[in-house]
Amino acid sequence: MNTALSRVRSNKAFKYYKFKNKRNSKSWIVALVLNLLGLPMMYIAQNIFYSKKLTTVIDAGKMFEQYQINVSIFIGIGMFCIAISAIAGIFIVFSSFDYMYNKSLVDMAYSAPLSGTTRYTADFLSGLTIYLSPYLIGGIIGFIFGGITNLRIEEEFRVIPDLSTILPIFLGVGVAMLMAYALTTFVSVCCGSLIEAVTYTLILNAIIPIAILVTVFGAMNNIYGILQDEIAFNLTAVTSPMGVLMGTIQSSIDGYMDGTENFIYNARHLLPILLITAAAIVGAFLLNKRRKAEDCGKPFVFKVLYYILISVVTYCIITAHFATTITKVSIASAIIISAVIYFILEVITNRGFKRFWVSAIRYVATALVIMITVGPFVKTDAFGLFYRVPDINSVRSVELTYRYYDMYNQYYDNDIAIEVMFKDKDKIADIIEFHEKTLKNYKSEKITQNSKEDIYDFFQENYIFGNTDISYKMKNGTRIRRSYNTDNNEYEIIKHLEDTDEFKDATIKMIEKRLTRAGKISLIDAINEEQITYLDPVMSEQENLDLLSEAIAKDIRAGVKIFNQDLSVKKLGRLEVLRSEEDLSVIWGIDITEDHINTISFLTQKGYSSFFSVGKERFPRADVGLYNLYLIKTDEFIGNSVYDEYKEYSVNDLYYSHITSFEPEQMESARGLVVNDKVRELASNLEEFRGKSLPKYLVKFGSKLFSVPGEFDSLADEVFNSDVAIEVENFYEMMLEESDEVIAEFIKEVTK
Amino acid sequence: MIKFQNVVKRFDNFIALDNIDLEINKGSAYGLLGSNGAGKSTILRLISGIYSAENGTVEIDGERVFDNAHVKEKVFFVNDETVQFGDFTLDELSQYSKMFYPNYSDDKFEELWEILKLPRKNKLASFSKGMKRQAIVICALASQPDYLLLDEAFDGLDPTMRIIVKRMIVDAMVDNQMTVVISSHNLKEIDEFCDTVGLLHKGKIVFNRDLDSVKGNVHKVQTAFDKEYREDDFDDLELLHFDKRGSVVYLIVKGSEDEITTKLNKMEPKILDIIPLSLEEVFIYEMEGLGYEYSSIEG
Repeated sequence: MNTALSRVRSNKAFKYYKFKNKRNSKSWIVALVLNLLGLPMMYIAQNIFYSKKLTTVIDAGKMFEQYQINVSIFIGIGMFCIAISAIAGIFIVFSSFDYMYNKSLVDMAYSAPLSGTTRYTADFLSGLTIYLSPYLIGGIIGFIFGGITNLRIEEEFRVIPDLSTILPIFLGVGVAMLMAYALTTFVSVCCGSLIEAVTYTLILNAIIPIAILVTVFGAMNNIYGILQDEIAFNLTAVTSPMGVLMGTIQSSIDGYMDGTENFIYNARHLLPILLITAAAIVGAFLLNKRRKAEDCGKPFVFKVLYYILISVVTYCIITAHFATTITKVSIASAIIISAVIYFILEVITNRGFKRFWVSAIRYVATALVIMITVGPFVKTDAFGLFYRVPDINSVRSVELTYRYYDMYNQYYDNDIAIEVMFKDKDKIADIIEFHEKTLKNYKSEKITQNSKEDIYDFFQENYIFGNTDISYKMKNGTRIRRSYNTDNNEYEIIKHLEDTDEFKDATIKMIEKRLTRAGKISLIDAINEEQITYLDPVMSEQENLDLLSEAIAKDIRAGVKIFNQDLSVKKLGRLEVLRSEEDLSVIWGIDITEDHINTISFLTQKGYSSFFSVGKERFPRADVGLYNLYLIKTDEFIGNSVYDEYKEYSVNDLYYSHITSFEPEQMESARGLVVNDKVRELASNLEEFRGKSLPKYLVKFGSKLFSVPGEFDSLADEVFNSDVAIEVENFYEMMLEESDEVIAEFIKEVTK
Repeated sequence: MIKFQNVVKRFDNFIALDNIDLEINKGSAYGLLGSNGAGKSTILRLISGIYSAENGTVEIDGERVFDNAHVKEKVFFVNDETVQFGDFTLDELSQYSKMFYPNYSDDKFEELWEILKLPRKNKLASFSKGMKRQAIVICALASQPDYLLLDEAFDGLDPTMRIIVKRMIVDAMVDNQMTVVISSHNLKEIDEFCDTVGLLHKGKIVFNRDLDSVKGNVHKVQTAFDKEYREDDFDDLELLHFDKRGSVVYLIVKGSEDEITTKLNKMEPKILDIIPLSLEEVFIYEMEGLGYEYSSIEG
């Protein structure tokens, strides 16, 4: 009997669900059309505009460009349609629960022979179906078209990224939509008026990320060592639909750039998103059980949500004052702005000025509570909470991230990180000691992060040691993560860890990971950086990449430092990993020194031996020298200034500026060289310039500076005053105005 | 049977129903009377399970109504609004009702539709108020509920249509033993339609009796005396109204006719006429007796 009864009831619930779907079918059709104009249309457009000619016509550059533009237009339209469907579609919640705000409809809904639970569940699921199913259908059809497209169009002719790139974005947007639906339902149940439901849905969605950003970059702005960006990203990306969307996009960009896993695949991120979504759904369900028909029409049925939201708005405005670098808001302005907004919201919600004095008292209490909690929190750097160093006995392991900054290569990935896990107690003890010392220095010297960076204004090294990130994994399962700007003195404590197997293994792992993404490899001459050798495409095949990383790994295990800071080790060149045969943008690179025996041996075997020879042949021909080789008289160039700063500035000029940008008096002291035997003799005796002391002569070759040893000053004098040394101004004048024949004749003349 | 026991219903600080006890017998036609805001619609919404009582119980056939889908299947509520089904067509409204009411009869719907001939494919929003009422009522009757609740249900119907709709409802009562609870300010309608009435005032039940006893318990008296009598001289009687024009005294008195005649005869009247009251007059004078101003009473 009971089973039969429950079957009848569930049948009725399903009928009601179907009925609601039918009622909302127009919205569903609109959403479906929008989603079909999304992914499916993008792929169809790619197929329509793609032509075989693109692969067969030799010079298809313009055609390809037009093809890209055409497809991109449809990508833009598709993204716009999906965005409209996702954003506007959320209003389906207000349609599904319309009886919550409309007194005329509430009788119809509540008098129907359904239990409150059945009615709510069916309405919730119906709205969710109408909202999400067009997106899923559009996505599935899109992926089918995408698969078909991939069969027809070769990879390099695909404008739309592959499924592996799109899938996490698709999932991320889907999860954000689910979360948005859950939060909107929660707000809807708390409100009895459509105006409030819409307004506070928008406020809730915006205020969550804002509150987090204000807390991290405002209240926690001065705390030394915390990873603000990481904390802000990790919190915002999992707590609001907007955050999930931003996280998805950011993570996709990062994934495309450096191949890291998309955050939506990571349970650590997905779990809180799903938990918050589930909490909103369950919360809405439970509150709905307590909601009464007569609540319809009230601005707020459960006013606690309203009080929480206006308190958070007040908190954000007042706390923003502490993020002075961002907002420049004074405390007085913050209080005035927050009070005005608070009262505006109160007047709207109370539908007038009734009991205004209660609002005033409530605001004062809220503002006071915020100030007496946030104020001391900021002043005491979160009560010193983040300056506590863990006890060694409670630490299970430590992951140390060594961050090196590549001074000379300004490609996007110049921040190279090696993540090393240490489990050995002695090593953990050293890290804790390093941690303590860093904090002690910070506390005693009150060195701010910014001023500390000045210590690293040291230009001689290719790699400078930047930040050290410490991530403790505690025995109780929690994690503590910090990042410190480390000076050499502090770094000394953990420097020996670079010689550990853990560090070497981590370095090798990092290199292997980066090499797998190599589309092309180039070798750059250490002396003449304009001499770039692009390795044969076969070298970018997996087999050769494996052999290359194996060779590098052998060198590392033998004790070679990839991020070499020892200037006595001679650098021969640089190996750079490029994105692809077509896209020569540099992903990352490492220096090859004379210690890289295995790496050099491998490259030599593959026919790239001349690159590593150190003979005279590496110096340019006479005409190449004309563009790249300069002899500089330092005393005239730098001048006799008593100010070291000026001298340093001038030396830096030599490093970073092109020779033509010199001041007139400096140009007088520089000569462009045509290569003859004397120049070759001088060049063969040059030493790498370390910047410790200034020689009489410097030679700038490509982007490198060499010093002329004192014993060869007379040879340098001779060259400087000979015909092969040409004043820079004349040099360029001749280059610009004279024909190649005249220049060739000139070279011939001066090298007689 | 519908049974209210110690029912209290509050809306924030306003007490809409104050400790109400009420029984409506199965198969009866019950009229709810009362001033504006007396609590009539609240009672109907409690019976239909829209509202829950803060205190006390509302039961239908021994089961609590609120959030009880099984009991609600026995109740169809036609409220005083017509906008809620605006985007339904008549056929959709029929389907909607069919979805919820197990006794729903398509034949009955067709039979009733044959009488009213309303457009079936047009949205109800395009109907006149009276047509919407008709549409909702035929769906209600096709649902064949045990209890039909009508809140100002005849509002907007023309006199002919009122008669037709009333006849439909009466037929359903006869055929299905349906109980009808009507709230209306049109006392004539209740007078014609109901066998039992309840008068509500400020959330309390003033009386709850069968219509005949209500009407038989209040009388209009026209009398004249040789002596000069003031209102105070009639303290023996349960006066609802006193009026004197010249030597003629007009009284509205509660009680049986015999009792009133006996008491007045002791005062030696020259003329004594006792006339029964219409329900409308009973309502007006009862309300006056409760201090409710005549000018503000609708109906």
